[in-house]
Amino acid sequence: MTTVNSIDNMAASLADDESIKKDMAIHAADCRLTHLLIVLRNAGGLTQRDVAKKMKCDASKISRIEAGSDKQLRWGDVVSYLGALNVRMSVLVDAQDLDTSARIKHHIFAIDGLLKELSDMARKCGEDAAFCAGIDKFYHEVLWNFMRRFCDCYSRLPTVGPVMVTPDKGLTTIAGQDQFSPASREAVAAPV
Amino acid sequence: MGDAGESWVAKEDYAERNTFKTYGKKHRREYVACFDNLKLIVSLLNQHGGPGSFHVGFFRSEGEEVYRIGQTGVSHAHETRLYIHIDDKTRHVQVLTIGDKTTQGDDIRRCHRTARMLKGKDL
Repeated sequence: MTTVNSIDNMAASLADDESIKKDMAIHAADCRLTHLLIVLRNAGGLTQRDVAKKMKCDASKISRIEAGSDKQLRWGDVVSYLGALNVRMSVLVDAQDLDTSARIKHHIFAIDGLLKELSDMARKCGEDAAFCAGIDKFYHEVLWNFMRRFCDCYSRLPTVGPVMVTPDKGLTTIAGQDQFSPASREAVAAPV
Repeated sequence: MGDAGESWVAKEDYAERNTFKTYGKKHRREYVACFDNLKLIVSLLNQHGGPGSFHVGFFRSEGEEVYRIGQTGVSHAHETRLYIHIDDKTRHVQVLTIGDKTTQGDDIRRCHRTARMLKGKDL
């Protein structure tokens, strides 16, 4: 698959200038939201004209929004654009120097909130066995997907090596050796 | 059109290296913006399967499987076009050349020639 890095490398190689990569990263950061709008519009199968119709404006305005940088975006336009796509927006405001672990904790709390929302929904629809079974299955999928990704990232730690998760043994190395010391087991089990 | 799922690959085998080098020096911001948009196009190709399955303002067909990508997000920009060849069968995106309004006629002609050559190779 062509990765973001490989196109950055290509741009730098063709210009015969390695510093292009730095400018690519800056430009990508400047256009992150506008590119996301384009991706979301296409994911919804909509043209610029469709969005303009829903926003009750001219198609040229949509073209202008998508051709600009994030700094040129107007808040009201972003809200209307996403509303036209029927997409819910949430804004995360945090300190620039916030470390990754604090960001991970934030997302875990957010996932916790959504899982509670789902379990409340299941309780309210207690008589609908099929619906409850679907949510039950989904909970397992969430856990499985989370553990797969967790193992993948965890195994990249220089002190750990390849690990896998199995229903009976939990987190183990590929060779079958448990990689967790009692202290780190406690750390993983402890609520964040 | 191919199915979504397989990956598209951006390649530079037929790129006019000297043109890129000169243009990158002369209009750096636009050069960077076009390649950033190329990233978005490859990502959309991967999501939607083919160039006809999505609509983006800066991305336009020039015929014979040649497409142009314009610059965005650059204020007071020098209108720039990055030309690519998109092959549905191989799922290759060949980066061909870069230019502006003044060179577009010649650029497109050369790109069509390369596209025909690539098609001949395919047969």
